[in-house]
Amino acid sequence: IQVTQVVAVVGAGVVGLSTAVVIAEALPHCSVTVLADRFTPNTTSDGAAGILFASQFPGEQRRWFKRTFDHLLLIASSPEAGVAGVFLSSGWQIFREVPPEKKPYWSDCVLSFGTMTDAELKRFPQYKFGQAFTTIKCECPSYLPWLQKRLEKAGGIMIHEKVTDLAELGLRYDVIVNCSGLGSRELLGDEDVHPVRGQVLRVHAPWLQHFVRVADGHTYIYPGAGGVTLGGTRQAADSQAIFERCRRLEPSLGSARPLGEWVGLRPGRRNPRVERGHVRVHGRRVPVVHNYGHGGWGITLSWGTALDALDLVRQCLNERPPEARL
Amino acid sequence: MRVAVIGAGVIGLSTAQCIYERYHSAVSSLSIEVYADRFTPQTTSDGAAGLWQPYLYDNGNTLETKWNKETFDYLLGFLNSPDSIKMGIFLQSGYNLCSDPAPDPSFRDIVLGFRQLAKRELDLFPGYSHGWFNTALMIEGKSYLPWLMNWLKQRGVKFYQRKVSSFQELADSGVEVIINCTGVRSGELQPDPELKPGRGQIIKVSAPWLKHFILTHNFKKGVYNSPYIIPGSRHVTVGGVFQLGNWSEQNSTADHKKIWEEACSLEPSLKHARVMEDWSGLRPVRSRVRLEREMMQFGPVIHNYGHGGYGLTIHWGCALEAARLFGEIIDALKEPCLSDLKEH
Repeated sequence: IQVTQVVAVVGAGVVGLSTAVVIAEALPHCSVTVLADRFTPNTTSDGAAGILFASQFPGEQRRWFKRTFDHLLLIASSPEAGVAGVFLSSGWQIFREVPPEKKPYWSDCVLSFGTMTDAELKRFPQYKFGQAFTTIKCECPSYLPWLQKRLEKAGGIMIHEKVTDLAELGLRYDVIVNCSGLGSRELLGDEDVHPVRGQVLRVHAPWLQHFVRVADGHTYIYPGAGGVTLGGTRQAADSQAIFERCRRLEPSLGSARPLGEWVGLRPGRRNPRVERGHVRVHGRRVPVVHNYGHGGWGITLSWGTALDALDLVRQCLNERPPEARL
Repeated sequence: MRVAVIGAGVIGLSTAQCIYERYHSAVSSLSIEVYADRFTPQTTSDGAAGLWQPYLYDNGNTLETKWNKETFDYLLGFLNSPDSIKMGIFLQSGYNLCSDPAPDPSFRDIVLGFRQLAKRELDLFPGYSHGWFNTALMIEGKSYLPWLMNWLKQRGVKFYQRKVSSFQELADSGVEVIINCTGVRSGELQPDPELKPGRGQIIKVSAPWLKHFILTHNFKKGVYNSPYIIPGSRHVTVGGVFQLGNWSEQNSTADHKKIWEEACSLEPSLKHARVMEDWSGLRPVRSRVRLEREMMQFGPVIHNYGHGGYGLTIHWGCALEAARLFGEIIDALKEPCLSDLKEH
């Protein structure tokens, strides 16, 4: 007989839920429980515009990005696109100066990547170079509930609980998967994790169909299903300043109606931590799989890092026979 | 001088605007009047989705391609102006899909960012083996027409809601030049066997996650008889019906079913879209646009009708040409008649 292994996933943002779903669907003999103090719509992921756009981390990011993109592309071309909040988005990334690398590593992961023509650049007179491509927008206020349903269908459950001690969790679970984002700073004492403040405005401007992003990441316009997200910041900034920068790029924003503002803290780290660890519980070692520190690329790397976390969970389960918990 | 424009769709209003702009200072006491039985939002132009896109091929009609380009460039110029949204102008990108390989369309060099679709993109649309991506413009009649009317009203242009039964009727009342922009019903003023209705029906839905137009082309079925999906600022227009010779403006359940099934095949996420309402309209179809002046016994008439399914797409180029023809009429009136000189 197959004994059910119990897996705890800490965190219910896009990384936690993606990881939980991946595990629950791949390992039917595992019972997955997501524990978090915040669920959608109150997670960091919920405030993000959700435009898939590749990161600048060293290491595995290409594989993580490609796998996430391909997974979301399947949803975007399915009947569920509107329900899941996952759909195609075309637009432009513009540069003030011609960059040394005109074709970044992710250019073949997105759809139809190309250099902007002179006619296309004319709309942005202060910018000398641009890239046009089609990527995916993944809106967490829709996507996270959709993942939650998928998790429940695979037998997973969710519990509202703030986890403050992984050892305590180790008493109750065979494997712990840590997707606590910024919470890892306190939970693990990982001082590499630091909050990177983001501030965005949302406006009603339903005629805007394209994203526009300035390459330095400080200014962007991301049209979505319920509104247009204007950003951004890496530090404190006046929302009027965000609006003005965006309006200079897209003058029709002058006719937009404000919907609200949002401030969130990205779980910044030099790179996402996707690796094994452990926690000591009464002399035993309970395996921990870490999957946190995605900075401003949680959605972009969510499925790819979840798949890597799954591999690590499999390893953990294969190495140790299940022991009775008393 | 009294000039009467008959028709208040995009053709009538833009022609009135163009003539006013170019001649109100040159022609003493130029007075422009617009007569129509239907005004926005009841015109054919109001129901159209508003995507700027000509038919795929102009079949040698380079004049119409020129007018299409003039319109595109003109509208593009308004993009960064504060009025762009009031006018209903904004950029939109999307897909043109063909079931078989096809030569590049006539508008390839007019639109922005035109390119062939890669296999990975074509895989998103099963059944279509070939296609193009480009960035074009939307020009929504429901915004553009009120903007035009406002523009004209501010400059003293008068509007009369009534059906004109004949050119003669207007001439008798003292109108000196008539501009005939009567679209699909032009035959009622002057029979034209080349002009036929191309009935279309569309379904308006709410599907705000859709950000690209998707137009399909089936060369066996003919233009517009194959599904298309065009997101707008207020709703998404779903269509794919072109019935030549059908005068009915009533929505057909059979057409609705056909449009809906084919569109859902093309874009599966429409399954969860909210259907709002249907609309039917009559495209004024002709082998080519009739844009010329005709001297009738009571005076000159400029004809500007027969723009098929591309009225919004071509309107400004035609308005410019109509204004040029108007200029010819003005010049002819100024020139002393040669026979007069001879007699003296």
